[in-house]
Amino acid sequence: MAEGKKLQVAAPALPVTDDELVRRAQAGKDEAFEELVRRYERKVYNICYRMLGNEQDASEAMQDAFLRAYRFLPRFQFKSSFFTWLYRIATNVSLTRLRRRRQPESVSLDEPVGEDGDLALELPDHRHTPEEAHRQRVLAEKLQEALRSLPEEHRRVVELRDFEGLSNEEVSRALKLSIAAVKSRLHRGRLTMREKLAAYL
Amino acid sequence: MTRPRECRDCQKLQDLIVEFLDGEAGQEISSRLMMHIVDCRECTALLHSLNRVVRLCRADPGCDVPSHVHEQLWSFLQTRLLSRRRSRRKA
Repeated sequence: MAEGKKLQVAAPALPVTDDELVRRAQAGKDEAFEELVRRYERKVYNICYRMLGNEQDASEAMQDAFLRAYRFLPRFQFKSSFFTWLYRIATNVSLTRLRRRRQPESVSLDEPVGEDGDLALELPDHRHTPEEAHRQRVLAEKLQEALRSLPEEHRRVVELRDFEGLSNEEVSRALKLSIAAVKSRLHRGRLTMREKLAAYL
Repeated sequence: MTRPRECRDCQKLQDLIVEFLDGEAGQEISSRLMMHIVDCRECTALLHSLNRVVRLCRADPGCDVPSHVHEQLWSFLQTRLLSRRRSRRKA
């Protein structure tokens, strides 16, 4: 009897994998695509924000990235994870936007960002002391500046490896680079970050 | 300007530093690196500061999507998905 009862207990539902959601979305189920958007909205926003440095551009780039993902999803062949594929779309969209912005205005990537305080408003609230909160805010801004100052090929690697926490193998697959190239770019990127952040280390 | 004698191996150790910082270095690589940095102030400072950079990046929580940006995204997607659905139906 006891065993019979045990058998009736429903096992907790496993979360649907990204691949399964992609398959459903490819079959025309828009709710599956919407679930993928919900899963990665924050990550994509942060990728765009880190590259573009302001809320307006990041917001538009994110919209563009998800729209492209929706449009090109039928061509997704499961050779990489959905996230690394989406990451490539988000960075490409952001880079196009960045290049377009640079041309007419010659904006220096070394210029301070967040002058309007947007970044400060979006950071987590460190309530210990006003000084600590200020220090954290400044550090977070400097970290983003340092990342944006990197050459594109270094920045992509540092962002995936050190900010997103992917392994060298995953970065290598996402960016179609050899492991040796990932390590070399990572090291160079980190060296530049170190120089830019010297006053805060 | 010539580098200090003990740092002539620094270039060779770059890959090792990457692996060491990422926790992927085995015993042999770690020992080699440690033996080197014991005598090399430059590399000790480098290792410490790079370690700090990596920690800072990894600790960066990123930011939440502001609510109005979230709403804009969903309204944009709903509009675009809806229009594509309609055009698919017509086709």
